[in-house]
Amino acid sequence: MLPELNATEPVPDSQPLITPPAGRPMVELLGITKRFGSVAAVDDVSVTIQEGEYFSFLGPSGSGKTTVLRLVAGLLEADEGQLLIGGADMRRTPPDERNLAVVFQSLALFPHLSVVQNIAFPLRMRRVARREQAAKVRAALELMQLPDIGDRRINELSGGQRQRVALARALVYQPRLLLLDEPLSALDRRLREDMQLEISRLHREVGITILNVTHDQREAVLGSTRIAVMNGGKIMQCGTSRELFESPTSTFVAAFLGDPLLMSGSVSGSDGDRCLRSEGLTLRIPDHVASSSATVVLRPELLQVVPADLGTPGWDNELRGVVTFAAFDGTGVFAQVQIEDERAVTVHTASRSAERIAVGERVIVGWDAADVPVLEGNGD
Amino acid sequence: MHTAKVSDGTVAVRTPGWVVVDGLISLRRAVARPSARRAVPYLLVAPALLLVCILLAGVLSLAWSSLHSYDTFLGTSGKFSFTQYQQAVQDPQFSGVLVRTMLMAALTAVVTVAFSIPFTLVLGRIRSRGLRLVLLIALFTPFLTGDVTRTFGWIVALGPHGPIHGLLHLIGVGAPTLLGTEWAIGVGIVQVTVPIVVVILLPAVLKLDPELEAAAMTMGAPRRRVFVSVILPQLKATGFAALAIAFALSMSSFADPLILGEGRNDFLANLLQDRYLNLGDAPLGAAIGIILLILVGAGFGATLALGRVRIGRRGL
Repeated sequence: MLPELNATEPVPDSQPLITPPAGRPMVELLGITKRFGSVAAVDDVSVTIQEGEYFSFLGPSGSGKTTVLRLVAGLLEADEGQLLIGGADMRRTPPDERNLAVVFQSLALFPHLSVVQNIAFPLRMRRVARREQAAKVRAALELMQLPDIGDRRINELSGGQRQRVALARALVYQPRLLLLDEPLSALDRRLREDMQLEISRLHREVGITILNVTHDQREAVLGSTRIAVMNGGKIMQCGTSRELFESPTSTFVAAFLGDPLLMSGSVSGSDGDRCLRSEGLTLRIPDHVASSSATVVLRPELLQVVPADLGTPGWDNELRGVVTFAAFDGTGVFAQVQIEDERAVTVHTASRSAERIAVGERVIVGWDAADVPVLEGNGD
Repeated sequence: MHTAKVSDGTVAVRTPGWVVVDGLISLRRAVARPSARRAVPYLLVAPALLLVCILLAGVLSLAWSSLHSYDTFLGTSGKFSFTQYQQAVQDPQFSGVLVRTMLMAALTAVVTVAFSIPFTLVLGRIRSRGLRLVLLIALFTPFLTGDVTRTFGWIVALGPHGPIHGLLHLIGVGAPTLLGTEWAIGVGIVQVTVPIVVVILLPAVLKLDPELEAAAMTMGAPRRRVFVSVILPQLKATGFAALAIAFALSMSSFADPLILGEGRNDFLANLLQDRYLNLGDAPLGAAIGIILLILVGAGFGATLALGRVRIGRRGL
């Protein structure tokens, strides 16, 4: 299940771990560094985004992901490194000549213009004929499934409508590249996921290259062909969501995705009996773990939990504990379990015995060695 | 009440200090009463309202005297008539002064706003605090100097031995002195209206979202078009308000035409002063004053209305 990773050697930060999918490169960042004062907001970042990709930069606030986007848009200038879009060096190209579109976090809709005028703005700047402008705006409104609101002002629209207008304005001139700077973060969850699916639909239908920036892993996971996890101005890891979830190469990536409990320790034992000793616990881990130290990533969804008196089917690892918090969330029980050595592990179970998982109940938390990701090395 | 409480006891103290404290406490309680609280806003606007009323009374009395015949020899008012206005309009100087005042006011207002918008944009967005301070000092120095000092400064600057005359001479224009011309008056007026207009524009400039300009650039707008299509439209309403105020201020300017115009290019305010004081015809002066007031009001209102017109609200 886990691919072989050369984890004893630190992975170079700026190198994408997994080779990008075949195709023509659309955006190439080559050793890009951007400093604000003495702080490097983007620190020697190299990544190639292929034509037609839906690429997400995922990271906590302050990780430099928005700076990367503004560098690509031309709103900031890199201190070091090279930026290519469609194979051409962008050093001397101002933002208005890059033929790309940005949907900003604030949406940046013009308050002094109507919906139609907002959408027509990029066409007006390109001196498109009036008649053609009208036709294209109509097509964009249709694409975004916007009702008849063309004559309204921006402050007369709902949040979801504004979102659609911003997307329509970005797509109306068929740019080669669409940059999304967390435009969905201000929406409530249901609307956000609707819009997310909408953007995925557009990505398929229009075939545009999308570069997305987000701090929301769910948003990144939905629709992205690849994700780059950023922290402290560097790309920690880059790959598909499956690769990131199943084979994280650093404790940061492992901890950032899926809210897990990480257990680190030293590896011992021969094949067939490989173990991890972590603060008094001995955990079975897969035989392919070759490093001397490792970390297991215990995500709530990967763990099984049963009441202690029911007995287990014999999982590789079983930890006894007491439930300190439990709540039914529609699909199953979400619970926090205090395990023997005072550490708390979060579990999510939809099993039949879930209704017995209640505060104060003694339970067994278990998993098979091959079912959870193992991070080799000390994880830095 | 402190005094009361103390007097309930063994010693009755009624020092003046405590009386004041008691008074303040009573006042506080009276104000705290719900019925009194409703009166507070009216009390707060009362002083300003009083000033407005006094001004209004003055204007009304001017209007009254302008609408009655007047015997300059006897100094007595006669019957109701438009004779003052007829006299004002028939004054050989009136039409020239009127046209000059209105044209100069409109022109200086436009020039002021045109100068002020870029200045305010720079002032509002400058990062360095030191530079901002320098700009603010440069802006407000003429404003704080006072009319007379400021205009006499211009007399030196524009006079036959001043630097501007020398510069014009150097580049071969060889111009005669600017003093006494409309140029000198215009420069003097713009110098006072610019700081006022900048102060009016500043809040609107600070409210501009730089993200909108960034967005416009990514959509293919070069800097010049960002200014014309994104920044200016957002400043439209405030810009016209500033234009109206600059127009009103210029219309009634007095010191600049008097001193820098050297009496050769009078404005309505100068004509008014001349007729009122030099000829001693107060009702004629009142009529000119009322005409000035109506023109300023009409120009002010028209400019504000222009700022509210939405061009192309519908369609593209």
